[in-house]
Amino acid sequence: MIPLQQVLVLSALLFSLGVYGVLARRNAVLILMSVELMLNAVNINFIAFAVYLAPDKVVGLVFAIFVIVVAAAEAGLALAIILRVYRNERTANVDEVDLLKW
Amino acid sequence: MEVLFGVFAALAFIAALRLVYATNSVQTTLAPLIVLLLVGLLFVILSHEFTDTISALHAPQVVFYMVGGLALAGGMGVVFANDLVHAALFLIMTLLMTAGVFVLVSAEFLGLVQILLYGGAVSILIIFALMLTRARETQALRLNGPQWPFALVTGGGLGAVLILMVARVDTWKGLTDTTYKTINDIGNALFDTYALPFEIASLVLIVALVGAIVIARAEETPELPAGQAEQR
Amino acid sequence: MLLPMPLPASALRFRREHPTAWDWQVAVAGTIVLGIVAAITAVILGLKSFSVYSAWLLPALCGGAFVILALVRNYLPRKGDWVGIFAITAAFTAFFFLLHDYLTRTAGGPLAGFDNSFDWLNVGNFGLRVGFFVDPIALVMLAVVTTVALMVNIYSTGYMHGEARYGWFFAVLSLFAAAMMTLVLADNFLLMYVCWELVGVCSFLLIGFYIERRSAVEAAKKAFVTTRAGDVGFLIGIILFWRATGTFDVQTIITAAVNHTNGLSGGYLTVATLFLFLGAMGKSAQVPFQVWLPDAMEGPTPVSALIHAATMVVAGIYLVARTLPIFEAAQGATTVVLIIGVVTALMAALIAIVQTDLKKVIAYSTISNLGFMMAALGAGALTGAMFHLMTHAFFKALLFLGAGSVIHATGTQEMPEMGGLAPKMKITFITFLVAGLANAGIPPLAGFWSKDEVLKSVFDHQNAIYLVLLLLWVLLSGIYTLRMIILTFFGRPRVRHIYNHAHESPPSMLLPLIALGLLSIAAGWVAFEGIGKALGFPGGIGRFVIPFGAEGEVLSINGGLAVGATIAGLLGFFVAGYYWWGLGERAARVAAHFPDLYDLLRHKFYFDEMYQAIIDRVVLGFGRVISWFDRQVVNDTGVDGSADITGFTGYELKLSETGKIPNYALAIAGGVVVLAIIAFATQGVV
Repeated sequence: MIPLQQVLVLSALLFSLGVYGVLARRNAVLILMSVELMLNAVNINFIAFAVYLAPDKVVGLVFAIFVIVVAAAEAGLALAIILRVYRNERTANVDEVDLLKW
Repeated sequence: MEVLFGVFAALAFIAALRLVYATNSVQTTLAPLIVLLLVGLLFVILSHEFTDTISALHAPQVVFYMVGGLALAGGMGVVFANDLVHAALFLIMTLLMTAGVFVLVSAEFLGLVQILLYGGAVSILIIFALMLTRARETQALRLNGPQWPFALVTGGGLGAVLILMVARVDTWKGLTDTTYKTINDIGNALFDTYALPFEIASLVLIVALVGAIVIARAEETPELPAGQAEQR
Repeated sequence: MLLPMPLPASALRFRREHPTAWDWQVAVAGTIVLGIVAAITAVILGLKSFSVYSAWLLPALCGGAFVILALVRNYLPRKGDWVGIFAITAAFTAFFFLLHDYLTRTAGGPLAGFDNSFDWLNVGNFGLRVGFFVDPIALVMLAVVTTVALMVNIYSTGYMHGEARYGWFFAVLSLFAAAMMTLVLADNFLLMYVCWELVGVCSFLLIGFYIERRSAVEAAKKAFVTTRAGDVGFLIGIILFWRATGTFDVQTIITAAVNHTNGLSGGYLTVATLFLFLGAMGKSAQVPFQVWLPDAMEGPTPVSALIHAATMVVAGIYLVARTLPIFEAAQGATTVVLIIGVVTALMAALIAIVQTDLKKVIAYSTISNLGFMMAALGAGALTGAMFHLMTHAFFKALLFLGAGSVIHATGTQEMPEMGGLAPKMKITFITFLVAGLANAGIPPLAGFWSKDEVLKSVFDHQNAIYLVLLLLWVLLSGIYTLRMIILTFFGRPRVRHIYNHAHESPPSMLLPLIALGLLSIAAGWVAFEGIGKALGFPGGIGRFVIPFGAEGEVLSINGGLAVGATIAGLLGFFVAGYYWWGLGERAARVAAHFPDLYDLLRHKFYFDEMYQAIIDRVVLGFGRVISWFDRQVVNDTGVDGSADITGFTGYELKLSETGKIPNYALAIAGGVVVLAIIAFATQGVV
């Protein structure tokens, strides 16, 4: 019913929005949110291919579940790091954390 | 034809919402809905020009446009909003709309999982993080950093390449049949063929849990004075 | 060169510390000791039956003396001068044994050469045999070298007494003797070249012996560089011959050249031969290489006597004599040799007439005689050339040593400051006079016989023009010789205090003078058959030193030529006496009449100025270009430039290390996008 190409286009657009967000946002939590956005786009892609192109296989869906799991774990860990950095540097702004500067 | 239409709709959203999200007003949440409705209306009005295309449309497709449009609006909110909590809320909207897309393509279980995990856990996590880092009080005037033009080029370029690739593949044109996978199938696969990745996934979760606790644990020593932050 | 030289330290110190000269008794005792050494050596050699194949012992003795002196001379009594004297005495004695054995082996037969060689190195296809080759030419040279070296060693104990680095002087003298003997005994060009350079090094060390004097150091450098220029030609010649024949062995090459085999014919042979001659020109101070020999007078006088009169400079003559068959086989080579020899002889004689430094006059006389010898070889007179080489060595060494005696006594080398020394230095005067007469070719002294032999050969085989030129040369020789004697020993003393301080030299210096004086008288008599046979030779020197492929012949006298040459010499004497007797005002007036000619001669035909101009313009100009290239391109651009580029690049690149995560993330994402675009563009849908 829904053409595959439209779903893929949606996924592509969400992904590029996520890329823009990762690169342009200043707050670390916002960057994390953009990463979640990208992961979601990837999930849409996986499921679209699994459903449209591989009728007898279920691997795409399983993989999407794993992606969700790993994304959640990574989100938790990343937020822990952000908290730590915030505690040390008193800022969540990634532009101001340049301790590795020359 | 549908692809072109989808691209056109997305671009219209990008242009309109970018303009809208320059401000910080509350109405921004409603703006995408309004725009979507307006576009739909416009479409209907002009429909007598595109009778073939319109008659080719049917309900799932229109619903998909709306859901997808809202997902895109949410995505744009995440990256363009000027208030942190607004951005978080937009993210939640996107996640839920993605769940809708999953349901539309006959992968309901995944949709449910998406709502449970993302909408339930990850969103709360993010909002807690915003609270713990006192985001709202210390946020800057503009939340987008100085390298946003480059980011625009990169993101735009990537999107263009992906969409062009998708458009070129001949075997995907006009593919509309979806297969419905039962929970049975997924469960069997998880505990049979993919048992090892399943276990490893649980291991990953434990590691992340322990790691997060260790990293975020409060120090025994008192917090360093503010002078240390200026020492750069 | 008119500036007064600083006095040798020994002269001043000797006069201060030893108001009375050494006793004659000490001198005689020393001679007796030397005689004992010679006797012991003779006994040892006789017991071991010294043979022609043991010729290597002669240079080895002196080489061993050099090693000992170089290493431990400061720990030996008297700084080890006796080591050198013992070595050269032993070599002198051994030479007689060598001669005896040679004559025994060749008695009644042809005078062959004896080769004693061994494999030196074997690299793949290239094998090198070196060794010693004994034949009459080598024996004559050895006679000269050992005799004059012995005389000079004894003389130096007196002349160099009290000098700083006294022991080093004897060390280098021994090294020189060893190298020279090896040179004349060498049977292949490579060994000869090595010793050629070695004697050049010894000459350098000895000319620049007074290292505190800037002029001495410069003169040593000049000598080495000038002879080096000739040596390059020598090396090229050796290589050309090797390329044609594949060997360095002299006799093999001679045979190949004479028979025109191995491609040694025509232009190739002439070119190679002339390159060889370049080396001889450099060492023997032929035009245009003669500029180093007058400056070499900066060295101590014994050095001048040994190296620059008797031995090293005749190495070039020896080379040409040894390879004379090659010169005769090549077209035009002998003509070149002849012309250059005549030009050198005349030019040097002209310059000698106007020199004021005593040693310089003798130096130019040496150059002139070397030119004469070279001309003799060019004319094909091998016997005459070697004969003159021998006699010239004796009387020229005597002239130098006598001059050294005069310098030692008066403390100056400039003749305008001397005068009237005859009554004060009798022995020196008599021996000096004998040497001068021999130089001018007055019978029955040695020089007459050798000169006459050469003139006769030239008359017999060559154009008359050469004979006329050579007779002119005899005239000029007479002029400068007597001028030198008059200005030094006769007339009124020109500088009073020098005359007052003049005294006779110590016996260590006088005994060699006397010995050489006797040789200057008698050495020419070996031309006679009777004397030759009495000494054990098959005949006179005419039957001993035989050109390649000819029959030995008795040296005969062309009466008319002999008389003509003697008259020319006496005429020269008369001219000298007429102009320079007394106060020499006639000579001064003549000089004033022809100022340009006088200047030309005084500036030695402007050779030095020409060379300096060439060096300044060509060599240094080229050097400046190269230096600019080295500084600008290699250093500034190449070395500094690449360092600067590296630094600059680093400086600019470090700005990309901002430490900010968004920047790094942008870099990663940008890279991915670029790769995606490239993949998409080149491969279509991936």
